Amino acid sequence: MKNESRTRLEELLGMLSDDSITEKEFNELDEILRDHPEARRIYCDYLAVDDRLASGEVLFEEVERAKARTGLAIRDWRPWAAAAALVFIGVLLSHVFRGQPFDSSETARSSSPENAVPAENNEGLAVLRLVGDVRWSASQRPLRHFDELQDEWIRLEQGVVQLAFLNGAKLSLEGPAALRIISEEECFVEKGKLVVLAPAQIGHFKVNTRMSEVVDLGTEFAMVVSEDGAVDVHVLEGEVEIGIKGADAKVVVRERLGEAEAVRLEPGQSGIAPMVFNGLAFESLRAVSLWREQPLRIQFDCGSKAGTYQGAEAPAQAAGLMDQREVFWNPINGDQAGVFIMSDGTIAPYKIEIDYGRQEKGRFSWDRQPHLSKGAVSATRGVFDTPLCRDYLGGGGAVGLRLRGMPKGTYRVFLVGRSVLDHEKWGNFLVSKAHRAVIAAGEADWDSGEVFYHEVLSDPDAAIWVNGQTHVVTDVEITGPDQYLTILTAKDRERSPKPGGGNSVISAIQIIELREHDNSNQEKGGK
Amino acid sequence: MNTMEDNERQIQFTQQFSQSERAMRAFACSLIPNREDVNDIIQETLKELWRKFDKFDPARPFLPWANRFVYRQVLIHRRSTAIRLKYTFSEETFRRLVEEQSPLERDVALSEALDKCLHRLDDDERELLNLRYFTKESINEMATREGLSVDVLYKRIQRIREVLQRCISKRMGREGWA
Repeated sequence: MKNESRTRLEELLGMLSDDSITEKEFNELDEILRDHPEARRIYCDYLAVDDRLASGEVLFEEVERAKARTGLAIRDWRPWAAAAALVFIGVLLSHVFRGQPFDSSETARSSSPENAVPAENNEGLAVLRLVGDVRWSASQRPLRHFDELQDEWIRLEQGVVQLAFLNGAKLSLEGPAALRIISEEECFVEKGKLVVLAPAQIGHFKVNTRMSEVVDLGTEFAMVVSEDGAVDVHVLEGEVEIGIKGADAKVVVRERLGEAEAVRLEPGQSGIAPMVFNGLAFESLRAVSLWREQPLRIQFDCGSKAGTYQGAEAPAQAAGLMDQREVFWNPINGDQAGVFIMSDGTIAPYKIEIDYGRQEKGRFSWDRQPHLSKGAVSATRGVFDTPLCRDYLGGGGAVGLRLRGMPKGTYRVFLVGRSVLDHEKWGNFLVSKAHRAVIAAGEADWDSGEVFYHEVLSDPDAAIWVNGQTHVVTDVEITGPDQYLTILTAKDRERSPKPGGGNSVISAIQIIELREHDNSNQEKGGK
Repeated sequence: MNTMEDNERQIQFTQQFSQSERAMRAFACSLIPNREDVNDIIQETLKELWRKFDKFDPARPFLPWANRFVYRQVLIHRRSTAIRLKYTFSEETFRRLVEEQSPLERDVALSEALDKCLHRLDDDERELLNLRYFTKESINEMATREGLSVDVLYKRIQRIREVLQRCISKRMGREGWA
């Protein structure tokens, strides 16, 4: 197609788009389209683009992105979201954001925590995982989460670290402590309190001290090694073999110790003295208790029910448990299921406080009646009646929630707003409204928090309960359990086309702790 | 009625529909270039699709199946005496445009091209496009404020659209979708 005819075609298309085309010009367009296949192609694309621009989604995103550079670019974080969210999250999130199709949930579930350690980095004998704040000894180079460790010393003054040994054993160490990694199945402890989990199928794991060695026989055991050389051993589960070393460091005495038994080895004495078993003293160091074992995942779901979809715990929509009405539309007076579970599906063993808020008569207020999760029992799963997904056609206030008690870390927050499907009766009033949101650390409000605009997610691979809904994704840095994570959403009156109607609601929230602490990931995810 | 099954079906439908909606709209737009009409057409199509979703073979692509319903609604629109379309294409042009239907992949490529090309505009240009597509009054206001005629402003927008469209054409050509 010649350049001048293309220019003419574009002129005509511009007039068509602006609705200023005359009948004569329309006939001219008709002729061009009839005679030129290339013109038809250009025309079709033009109208498709025009329709997208007019629908608002694309431009809103672009203009907002240009203004704020908020890091909301879906394509940037999607691949790594899938990589970071390996275990349970994989089931839910990776198909939410272009991961595997749903039936690969089998693979995702079979990824054990061991596999969560990047496979290509397994040269180290053990991988370090930080559990909360750690103070290193002066002589210790500061280690980072997920560092690969070789044959080396780990010295900490305070705090807890976990070592995931290459053979699969997990060792939690509480400072003050000094431990040397010897091989993928052996270590030496100078001092410290530790718990070793070494299931039978992974082979034996050995902990040496100056005067003893403790070999697991498919077990979980705890040790306290004092600076003077005394060693306490408590068998939490299974069986261990204890060897007492003689002067030449050779084992001279061996003894087996069964579950719920405990012994003390005193320096300078060749015997093993039984002592009172005190499993409780080590409870917090046990692998199941270490809440940092798995990234935290918090999920809220606005449906009157929640259930299981493809083997994974899922919001009501995914589980197919929405009421008829709820499929097209969020519930008018829905309950809110608040669940605090780890990414491996176990329930988070710490308290998170939830505070719900809503705007009434122009004023936003928090309910200030925190709902507390009550520890690692199934009762933490509750159904709360909250204002988050109540829908008032005539209303127009903001809704929100804030959480407190989350451990220090970076969290990716997925806020899912409305369904964008046309409703037979109410039409497509959902998507045609613009919604804004604040997602920020601390007690943020519309003035202090960064304002995001909901985008419409339309992704062929997205999970059904997210696809076709408005959403905001961002990363938030939480400094510790005292700090709130605040999430607010509201209809943007200025941006919403007339007529009004259709509030903002929160139909689902996922908060995922990001565990890979290297810089490139933070740059991608954050702002 | 089996509720679980029914829900499952609705979920599938929702998924299929939301994937293909844009492409269906684009198809309808090309035949009846008026957004309001297209909104009606898609609304009607949605109802039809849902009613006939039982007949849909999940092994086959959804879009061509759905576009048959779009086409039917377009025909109803074209022929209806109750709906007065401002302009209608001649039979010959209409027939050729119907043949221009493209697969879903092309629609996805178009979205990506649009994304990338929007990035290449500068912020002012995007803002102007935003104004054009959302608030026609604002263009008048803006023209007054800037001391420009509305005509000049529209011309500027027209130029931005041309730049955008050419960028998209180029990209589509490079991706093998020309």
